[in-house]
Amino acid sequence: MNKVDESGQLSLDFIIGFTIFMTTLIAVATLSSGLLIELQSKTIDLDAIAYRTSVILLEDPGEGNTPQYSYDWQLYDLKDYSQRNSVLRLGLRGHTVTPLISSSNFYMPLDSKFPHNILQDSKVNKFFSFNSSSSCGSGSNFCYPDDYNKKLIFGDIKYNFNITISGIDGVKRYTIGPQAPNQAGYIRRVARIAEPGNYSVICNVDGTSNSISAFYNSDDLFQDLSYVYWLNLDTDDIVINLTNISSSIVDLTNIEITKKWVYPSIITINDIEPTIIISNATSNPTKISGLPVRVDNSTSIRLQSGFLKKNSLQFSGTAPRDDWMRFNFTFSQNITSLPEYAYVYNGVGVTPPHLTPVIVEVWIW
Amino acid sequence: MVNSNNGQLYTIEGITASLILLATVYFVVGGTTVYSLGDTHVNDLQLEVLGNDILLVLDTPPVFNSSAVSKYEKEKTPLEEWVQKDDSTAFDSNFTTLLKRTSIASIPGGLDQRLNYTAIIWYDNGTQKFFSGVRFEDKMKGNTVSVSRLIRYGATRFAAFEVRIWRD
Repeated sequence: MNKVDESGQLSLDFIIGFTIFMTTLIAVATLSSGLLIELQSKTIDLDAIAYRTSVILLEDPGEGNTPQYSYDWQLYDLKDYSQRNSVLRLGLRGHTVTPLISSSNFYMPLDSKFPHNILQDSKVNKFFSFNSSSSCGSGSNFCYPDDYNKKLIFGDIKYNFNITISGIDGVKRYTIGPQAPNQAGYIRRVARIAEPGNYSVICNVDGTSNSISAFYNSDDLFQDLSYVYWLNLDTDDIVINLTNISSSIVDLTNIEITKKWVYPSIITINDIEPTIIISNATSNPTKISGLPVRVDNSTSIRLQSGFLKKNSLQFSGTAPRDDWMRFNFTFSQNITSLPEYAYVYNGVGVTPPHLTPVIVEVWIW
Repeated sequence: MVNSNNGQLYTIEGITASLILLATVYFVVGGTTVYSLGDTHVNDLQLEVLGNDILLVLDTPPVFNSSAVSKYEKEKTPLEEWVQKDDSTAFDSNFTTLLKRTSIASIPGGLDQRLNYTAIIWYDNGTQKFFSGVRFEDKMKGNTVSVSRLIRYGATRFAAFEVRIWRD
């Protein structure tokens, strides 16, 4: 007959064996919960990439590889493959290099970044004049999207992106990329664009001369005010507007640009950009080969930034301090009585360089 | 002999079963408490960066004031001007536009109305003053960020201009 043990006690062997078993079970279960982690899809923090992109846009002046003008990547000739390749980062923060300016009793060049969140107008224009076609590598624009992935967003994954700059009135001023889906990484920043302003010369068709001379003098431009508010002739667009033309048959027949220390003193202008462009409200923009052209009160003449660099005529760096540049516009009839229109920051008709607040938004997906 | 019709467990089965139950409950509960502070952190970063940007922009003169005489007047910024004149309306309209303006298509009117702020000035003599925005502290939410900037108040005095921003 079998003896049945009804005492409800466990033998010591069993307790020890059971303890070892439970310990092992718990340890294995805990360790195995981490086995599947590598199989989860990696979630990329798209917000962080959007923030990083906004930092490069707003707080980095960008970089090219040309030693003397490494911050002025917007002036590089992108048709030249080696110059296009040497643009490393597309930062929009402003930067200025000046000729020798006075500081106490010394003359020294100023080579300084703008305070952060101040964007340079010529960099913004160059950044947003992109080309999406497959043959854009041989042109003078940055290629969308490859150049932007390589020089701004970085990383191995080809992110989609949209960068939009709007004014405080809500009007979109610049945009690149398609509209973002709802789940995109996003950042919104506020910055200012240092706009160069313009010079509205007041004409007089009853005057005695048929030529207007607009004069830009180093001494007047590089003054003792914060360099953020200077008109930087090397990197800014120079805009001259014609006003008070009360006749309807005035033509602009010739443009000459002269500069001190340059022999022969008259500079050759051709149609290859950057160049001088004449715009009217009613006709297509005209270049130098399209002269003579009818002008009126809506006429705006723009010397694109980079013109001086292309012709090796910069004001910056080791150029002498007492330097000047003059525009001579010749017309088909009398246009003024003033021998010269000198640009000074508080002069009549001058809209001085100013900072315009803008909203910068970056989407990444 | 034990009459086993009443469905009781033997001791060892009982202990094993209960231990397995406890272990299962422990793993299930332990595996579900994932504490993701990451989301809040990114929101804070966005608001903080935006707030700092706006104060920086408002604290820079848009044009050089060439007609001013003293160095202080030449460098006076719009923000300092509003603080000196106690012009909270001008500050409110400028700050709100920069805070809320967006080009996101789904936000009506281009202004994100979910963002709110309150602006406080801390003077260098220890006093403080509510300046602009939502006045009552209990309307602020837990993810409020605070940004501040040192400004000049008069030619020789300073103040800390603090703005607290939150999302509704």
